[in-house]
Amino acid sequence: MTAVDDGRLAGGALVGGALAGGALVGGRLVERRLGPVGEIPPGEGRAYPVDGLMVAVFRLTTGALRAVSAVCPHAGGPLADGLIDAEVVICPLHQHVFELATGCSRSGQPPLRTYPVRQDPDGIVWVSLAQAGDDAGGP
Amino acid sequence: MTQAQERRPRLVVVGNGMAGARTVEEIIDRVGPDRYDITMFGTEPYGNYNRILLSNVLSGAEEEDGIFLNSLPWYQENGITLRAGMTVTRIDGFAKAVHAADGTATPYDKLVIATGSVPFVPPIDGAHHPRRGFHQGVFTFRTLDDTRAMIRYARDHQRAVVIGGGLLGLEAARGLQQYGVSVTLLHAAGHLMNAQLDATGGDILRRSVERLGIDVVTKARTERILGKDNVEGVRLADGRTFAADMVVIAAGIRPNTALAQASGLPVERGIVVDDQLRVLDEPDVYAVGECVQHRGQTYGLVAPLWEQAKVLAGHLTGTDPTAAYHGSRTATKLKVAGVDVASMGVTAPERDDDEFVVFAEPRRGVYKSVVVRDDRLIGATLIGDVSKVGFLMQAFDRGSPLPEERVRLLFDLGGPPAEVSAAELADDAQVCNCNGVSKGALVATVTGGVRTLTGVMDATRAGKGCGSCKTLVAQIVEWAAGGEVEADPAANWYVPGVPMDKPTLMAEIRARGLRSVSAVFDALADGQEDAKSKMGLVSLLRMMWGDEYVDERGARFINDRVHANIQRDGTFSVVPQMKGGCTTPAQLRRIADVAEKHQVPLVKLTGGQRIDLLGIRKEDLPKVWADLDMPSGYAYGKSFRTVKTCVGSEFCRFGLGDSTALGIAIEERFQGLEAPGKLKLAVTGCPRNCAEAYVKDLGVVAIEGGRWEIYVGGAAGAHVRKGDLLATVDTPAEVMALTGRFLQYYRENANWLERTYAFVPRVGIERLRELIVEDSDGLGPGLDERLAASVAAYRDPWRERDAPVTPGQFRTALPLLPLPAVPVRAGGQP
Repeated sequence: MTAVDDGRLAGGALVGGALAGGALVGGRLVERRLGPVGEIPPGEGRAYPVDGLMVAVFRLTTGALRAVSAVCPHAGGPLADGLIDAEVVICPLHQHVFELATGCSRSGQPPLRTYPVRQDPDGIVWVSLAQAGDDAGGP
Repeated sequence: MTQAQERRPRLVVVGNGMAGARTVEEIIDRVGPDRYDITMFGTEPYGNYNRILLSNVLSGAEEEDGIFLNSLPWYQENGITLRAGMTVTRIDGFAKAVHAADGTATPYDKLVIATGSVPFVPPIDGAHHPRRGFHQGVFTFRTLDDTRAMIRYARDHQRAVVIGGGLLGLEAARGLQQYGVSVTLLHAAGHLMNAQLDATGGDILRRSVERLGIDVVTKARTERILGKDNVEGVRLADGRTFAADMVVIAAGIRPNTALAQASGLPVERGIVVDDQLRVLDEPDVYAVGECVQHRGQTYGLVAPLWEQAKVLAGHLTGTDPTAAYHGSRTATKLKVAGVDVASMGVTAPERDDDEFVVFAEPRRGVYKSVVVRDDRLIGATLIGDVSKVGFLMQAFDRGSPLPEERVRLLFDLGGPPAEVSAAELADDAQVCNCNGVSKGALVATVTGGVRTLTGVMDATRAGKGCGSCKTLVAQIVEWAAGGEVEADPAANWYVPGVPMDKPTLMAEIRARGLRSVSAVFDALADGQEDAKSKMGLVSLLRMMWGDEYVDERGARFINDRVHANIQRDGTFSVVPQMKGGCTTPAQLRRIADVAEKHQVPLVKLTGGQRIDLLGIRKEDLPKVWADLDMPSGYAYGKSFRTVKTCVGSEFCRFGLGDSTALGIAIEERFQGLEAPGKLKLAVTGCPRNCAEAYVKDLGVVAIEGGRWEIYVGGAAGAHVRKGDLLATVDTPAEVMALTGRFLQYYRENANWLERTYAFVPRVGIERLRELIVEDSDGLGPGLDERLAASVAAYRDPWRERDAPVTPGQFRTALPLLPLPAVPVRAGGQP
């Protein structure tokens, strides 16, 4: 894990509208364009490299998006390949379960990072993460 | 007393032991504490404690505090008047009042007698002192005070004699050893625990007990306790004497009927009650527990008391007016002096045609026997190894079907692992026999949010009786709370997220025409998606609907999204179809070219006679398939995988049948069929079994005379099991037909992830023969037809290479890692 405060990244510091246009927020967070939402079929996830990090973005069947760190802390499993429901993703390698909203494991593993993610009116997916340099790398 | 209180009916309970207190608890559970104005009398000056655990207190394994079931505040909180340390001397049935030793009379509207048992003390000279009751140094073992007195005395004495080689005597002997006392156990009968064990079992238990340093003397009738002021020893009827400075009499218990007798109530061996626990001819007087005689039976075990308490409470509160006690089939599982012992029903065959299966290994202290009558278990004894007790108790309780090979009653022979049997335990199977807690109740508690063993034990009381079921309770709790995909919070549900067993689920899916996973969640699970359920639902829906199944890619496991087997580094393995393990130079050349072109890190022969290309990146899969231009071998799915064959009759000088051709034909027809678990098959050309057909989900063996044997339910993975012979047939066509029927029956009836090695024993090979070979229920044509539809719906999934089904289907999920992360192994290197 890095020095960045995960709670602040994942939690209430970011409010949807404040991030419009991909502007820097408070000099600590930066929003990155990932691509059209159509790249992610409903009910599945896709992995995106962002600033040297791997982010798994999931599109729930409701259309809502969730973004977490893409590598399972247990044995490096590709979480974007995992089965999901409205709450959790299951790692395809050893079936460890993580909450998509909080990153917390329900099977006793270290937590995932969560990232704010949104879709703009043009159907483009954006994810927010710590400015490069603040963050020393992936989990 | 106020007017309001006077209007409540008065319930008086004589006896504050386990049965009396449990009855009151059951009443309060049903209607709260205010229905009755409750008074309880107890001779002992305490709250209510677990008498079974006194042996733990004696041995020091448990503190006194730990055995109390209800402390004094509990009585206050529930408005119960507890007259602890007060003996009731007489019941006045006409005036409806009980008289106590202090001269008081307490009126009742309803009376419950729960006076329990008293120790049985055989006539032994010198046991009693003319003035002070028991001789100094002579003890019985029934109450907390008895236990305390024994502990005090044992601390500064050296030699003890315990009279009685039943459960209580053994526990006393073991407990006393903890104080450095050397113990001799005298038992009047020919072998230990003669009420529960046969002679062989008793002798094996004896060896185990002697190994603990306890001297055992059987056929020992104690005649006299020696010593005038202090105990000096005992003398037997045959004249032998044993020196001792302390004697514990643990020769059994008798129903405590003195009060009932003195009050003119009907008493035989116990107080005679009917099915509502009502004392004969006394409309308002009930009796419960060890003091009771019901249908000629008295009980000295805890489980029947709990059953009686429930019936009585249902009756007294009117919450279950039809409640009736029909007697108990007693099965016990105990740790006796450190040795596991379980016993139920009869100990030996009684009729000429009773089956008696015995295993004895005295050196290890293991003894197992079962008695079977008319295919039903009527008795079992286990000493030293009680691993099969769960299954046996279930079979004994319900008369459920027994394995054809009776030895399986005593041992697990390559069956499903213990975890699976815990998972497969029926929902209503009783786990805690002391407190009558079923597996369903445990699972419900866990799914209700209690995630710790102690929490579940607190909530259900499971494991709080004798404690012997704690391990099983722990296993069930762990299993119910586990985060694994294969864990199933409700044993009978097909998948954890839809609360239905497989037949119900299939009926609903068919009735409502549910053709997609999301439609199932919407209709049958309140719209709640469940990730752990998706894979099983995909399999079921594809099996049921074939072509009409509406695919939702996200519901598939990654292997089924990209038709390859995910590896530990996130790369995939590619196994092209190679029917019957037969290949050609051209095919080999192509595979070699592909391996070179894509720099495949490892090319490996599989156990299923195919060639595995390992370490393929997800994004390369379509190209690899295109270059191979071979169909998928399904080495990744819960599906029909491969048919292993031997060389067969064309070349092999031993070959009796053309196993190769038959294997290819089977694979051609059933390729890729999804199933509840993976299916590995084999056809072998003679009983030498080169293709290992005896240990496959379905294995075919050619035998002399041009005939074929079909075995089902074999396994050679973590669990090794030889398949059961389903049928012997004359032609390959019959093999094909029966194989199809078996596969379809398995697909439709097995639980999700239930391999054939568990499914076949569960259904029973005889039943399968009836259903599949004899077609006794007329299922055959339907099975054939639905299977044919599935076969017709087959598409080689590797055709998806031409056009991805979803955007980014083959996009990598881990692009930043240098892949493959597994070492590249050059051919021939170790």
